[in-house]
Amino acid sequence: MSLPGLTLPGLTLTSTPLSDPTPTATPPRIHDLKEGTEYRFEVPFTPRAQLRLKLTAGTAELFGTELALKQTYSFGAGAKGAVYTWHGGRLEVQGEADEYVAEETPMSVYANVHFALEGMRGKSGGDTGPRVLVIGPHDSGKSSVVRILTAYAVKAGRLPVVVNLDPRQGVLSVPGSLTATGFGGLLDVEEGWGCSPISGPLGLPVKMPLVYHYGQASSEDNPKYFKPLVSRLALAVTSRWEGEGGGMVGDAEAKSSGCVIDTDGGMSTGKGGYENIAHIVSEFSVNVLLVLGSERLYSDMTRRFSPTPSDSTDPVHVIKLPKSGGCVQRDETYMKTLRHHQIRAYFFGHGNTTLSPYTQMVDFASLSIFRIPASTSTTTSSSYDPGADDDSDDIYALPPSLSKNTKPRSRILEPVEVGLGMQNAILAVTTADPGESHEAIRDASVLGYVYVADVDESKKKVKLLTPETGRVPARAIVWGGWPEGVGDLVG
Amino acid sequence: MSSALPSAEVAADFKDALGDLRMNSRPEISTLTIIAKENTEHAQAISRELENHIRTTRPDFKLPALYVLDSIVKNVGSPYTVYLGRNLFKTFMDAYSLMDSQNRKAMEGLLKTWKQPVPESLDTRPVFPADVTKEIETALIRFRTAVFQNQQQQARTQRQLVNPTLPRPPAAQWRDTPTPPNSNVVRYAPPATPPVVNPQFGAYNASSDPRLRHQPTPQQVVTQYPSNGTPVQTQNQHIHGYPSNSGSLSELDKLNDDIEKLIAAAKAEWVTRLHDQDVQKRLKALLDLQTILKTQQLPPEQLKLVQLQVAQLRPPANPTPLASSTPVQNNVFGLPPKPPTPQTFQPAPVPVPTPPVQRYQSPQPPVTTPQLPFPFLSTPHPPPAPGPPPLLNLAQILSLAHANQQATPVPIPSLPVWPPLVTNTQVTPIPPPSVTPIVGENPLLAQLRAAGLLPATPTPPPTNNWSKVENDVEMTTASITKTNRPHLINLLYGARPNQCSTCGRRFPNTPEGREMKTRHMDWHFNVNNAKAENRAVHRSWYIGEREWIRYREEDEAAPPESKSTSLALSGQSNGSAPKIEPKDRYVRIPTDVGSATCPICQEKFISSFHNDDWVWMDAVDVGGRIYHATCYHEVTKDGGGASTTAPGRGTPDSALGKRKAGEHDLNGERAKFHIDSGTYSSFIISRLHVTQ
Repeated sequence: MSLPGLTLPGLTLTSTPLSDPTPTATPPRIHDLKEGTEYRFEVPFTPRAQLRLKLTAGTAELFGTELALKQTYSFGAGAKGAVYTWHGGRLEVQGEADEYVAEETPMSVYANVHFALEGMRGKSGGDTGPRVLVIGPHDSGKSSVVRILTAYAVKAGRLPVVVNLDPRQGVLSVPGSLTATGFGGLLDVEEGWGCSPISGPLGLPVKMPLVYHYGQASSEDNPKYFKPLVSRLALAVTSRWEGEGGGMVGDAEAKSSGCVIDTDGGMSTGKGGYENIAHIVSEFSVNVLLVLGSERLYSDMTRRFSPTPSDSTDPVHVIKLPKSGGCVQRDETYMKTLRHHQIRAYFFGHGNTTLSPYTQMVDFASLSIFRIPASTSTTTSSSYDPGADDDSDDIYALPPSLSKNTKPRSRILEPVEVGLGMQNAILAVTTADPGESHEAIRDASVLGYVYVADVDESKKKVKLLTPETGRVPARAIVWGGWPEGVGDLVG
Repeated sequence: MSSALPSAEVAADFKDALGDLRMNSRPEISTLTIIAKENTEHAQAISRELENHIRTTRPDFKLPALYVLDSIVKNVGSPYTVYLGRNLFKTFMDAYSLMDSQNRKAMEGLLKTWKQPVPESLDTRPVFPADVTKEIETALIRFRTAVFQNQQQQARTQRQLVNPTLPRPPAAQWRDTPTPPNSNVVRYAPPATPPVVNPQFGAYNASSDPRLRHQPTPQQVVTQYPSNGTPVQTQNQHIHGYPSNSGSLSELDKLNDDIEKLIAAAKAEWVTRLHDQDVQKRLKALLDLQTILKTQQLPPEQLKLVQLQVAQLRPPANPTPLASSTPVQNNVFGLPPKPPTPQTFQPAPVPVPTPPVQRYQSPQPPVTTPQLPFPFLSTPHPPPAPGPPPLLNLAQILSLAHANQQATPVPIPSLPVWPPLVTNTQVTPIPPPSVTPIVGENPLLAQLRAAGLLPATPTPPPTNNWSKVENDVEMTTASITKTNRPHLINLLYGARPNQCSTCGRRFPNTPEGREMKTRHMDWHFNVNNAKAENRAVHRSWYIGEREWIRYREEDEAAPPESKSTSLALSGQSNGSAPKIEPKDRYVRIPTDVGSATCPICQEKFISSFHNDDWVWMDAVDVGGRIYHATCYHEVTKDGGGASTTAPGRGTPDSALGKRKAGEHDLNGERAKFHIDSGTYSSFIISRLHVTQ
């Protein structure tokens, strides 16, 4: 369970087609899993590594999503995961992997969380289902818990909304994005969540994310940018549940299912205190706060959100959850590979789904690019000057290091020309008109991402990789500076 | 196998595939059928492999293999009917003689269908020629008669041996049946579940074959085996029956007497079936019971319970009925001789050396991939230990028995399918052995229960009403960290036993659930078809805020009406009537045209995937010719909406300057999202067209 690494099949996708014949040469290893145990694996980063799992008897699930009997699931280089079984099962494994069977897992606790949530959903009737926020330090298994809770909810016939506020790894999008997605269908065992819409058929129900671009590594780096996006997401989710007004009917099924919110570890160890957490709790009306793997955080949260007699109608339940022994530290190299994989998968697809992105030459002048200033410095910390802030409620604390190096008049966004520095960058095409205010551009959702494959300064042309054919929509384009450029995306 | 090499290869492939067939799995059987169908030129070799496999595989794997045979002859027919028909008698009877009664019933069901034509087929001839099936039928009748006589004889012996009251005709017990040891009670119960249909595995059943759906199931049509008077007796009859017979003897004496007789009978049986842990355990439990009765004063109500149980135990404690098999049996079926029953009564549970008699053993091949069931999930029948079994102490018996209980919550799974965890509540709630004694229950009863003399646990009868499973988890750290609640896990698994074999999605075992699964499978099928077209696909742009707010996740398994209504609701309630703009119109790509061009602008149509179908967006079909909808609109707009027959004569305003809707692929997204066109264009498109 809770290896936070998700799974990374197809990290070497372009070089490793699925028809790779080598894994069949060796006989499969058999793992007979006792009930209540889990098989944990890490596929090495060797180029052609591939792990294939097949459940031949019993039952098993990967982060809550059940494996179908006698179906082969493939995991590419760098994939980490854990197959848990409630009833026992036999796994046939082929391919190289660092693997072991663990007998102690917190799965029953996580399942209990699900049933407790189901109890709240059951009670809600026409009311809104539980809003769950999962916090904890880096690599404590937050995303895995979110996945498990989502998968169980889907299995129970619910339609939970998953809100990803962890810019380190995207959900159905690239890193740097913040998303909200309704989950009405099965999650993808191999890829983690599933697939956002493509122009062809998908083997699993399509997932429809609402995407905003944050463009920084941590929620703490630029709270001035982060918080409005949280509010925006909360507004969208609430509108989905309640309807927009004007006779628009809300999504009752999704509403009674509630939402699960994933966060980045930085928020829980944050420089800015716990302001982001408080902001999320208030914006989403969070009423279940799951704290993973940190006593101190749990203690702080209980103190902060302990129910007072005055607001006893919908108190915040602060729950401490054990961290799984399967959680592993993911170093920066790994995270970088993960990011590149997600970006590659956005353009080229993953697994059996191969996508054909489109390359085109575009005039500099035809693009309206805005840069998020925070990313200008090499350190990934905020460069905002609180004095330039037009928001009155300046509730977050600035890192002390910033006071000496701030610009006198900093803005939310800065219009920039295409330059060599943009080479290999990932740009977010928003739905906002370039003429709109910077706040509007910041708050606009994302249509998609384009990749700067080449910049020709002499001809004033830029070579772009776009997901779809057709010209790049003439919308405001935001460059966050993070995730970093990917060198080898286009051969 | 005298034919050319390819034939041998095909046969070898087929054999491999057969080797993997260990349970009644519809997909596997279909696959094998398809192999057979695609290789009719090698029918002879394949038929021989199939016959060989049926003859040599373990008894529990025989039935699935017979289903393969059934599936092939019904779906492919000739020449397989010819080849397989030649040896059908031998194939069938060899297998039949080694099966347990459940499987036999299934086989009899098969035979019945073979006497009839293939359902929904134009051919009115039976599946197999009448003379083939007739021969088998005759043999079966003789077989039953023989068994019946044998049982009569046994019953008579039994009457003298134990008790004058109500001797139950014992069922034929076969040494290698998967009959679980603790099933004395349930053995005679009517099969609550069909023996071979485990929906979890998508079981193949001759009668669940869609073409056969009008056929009665084997359980319904076949005379129950054994075909003696009352093969199915309920527990209650005995419960009521016994006390009335308690004559002048005091209750306790009578009980002791009965137990003694049972012990004697059990010992006799044990001697003949040394490796049978079933018998051994029963004997041990009886001895324990005797000790307890003699050393302890039991309260009357507990005594009563013990009496009831003992009363029930009497009939199954018979010596194995096959001990003296009749000559008829052996002659007719060429069965290996049964071990003669040494009628010597051994004094006490002392290990006895195995008598050097030929054991009744199925002619198993020299180990074709031993498929031992899983120890941890416990097996329906522990593999018989060779040689004299060691005497087990009570703790061991308890744990053994516990394992057996877990494995057999429902009456006798007759195939080595995975324990039916999904069909019964009793599977998981059974606490581990350390806590086996139910709180407040007499240890004696618990002991009996553990030894399989009592039904597994006094749990409530399995209910299908999963909503009533109590979810007691509170949203508090204490409640959540409080160990696991297996009965709740069943909500995720057992409540939806009907699993899709492709993606693992589960459906409830209700009519609606089955309908959902059908729609779900259709969806898989359509997706796979569409994927097979192998067109270049690309990622689509994400949808905007308002579209996302109005978007509703679609369940591919939901009834079609509810799909459309949710969308219609969301769209229309906005007040904007869904008006189809020209660029949003589409036609299904005609099959007879490769890539056609619009007669007006001579440009090609752009294909895209929409509503599970490949369509040309921005296209309109007018009198059999397909135009770009925008072209057509421009051409005809002067004449208003009247010209529906042919495009007007006017020249397009600007053929060159006109931009196809498809050029802006965003427009196409609307279709894929199933979002009302009005709302979409009111937002994204209007924004996008500002500067274009």
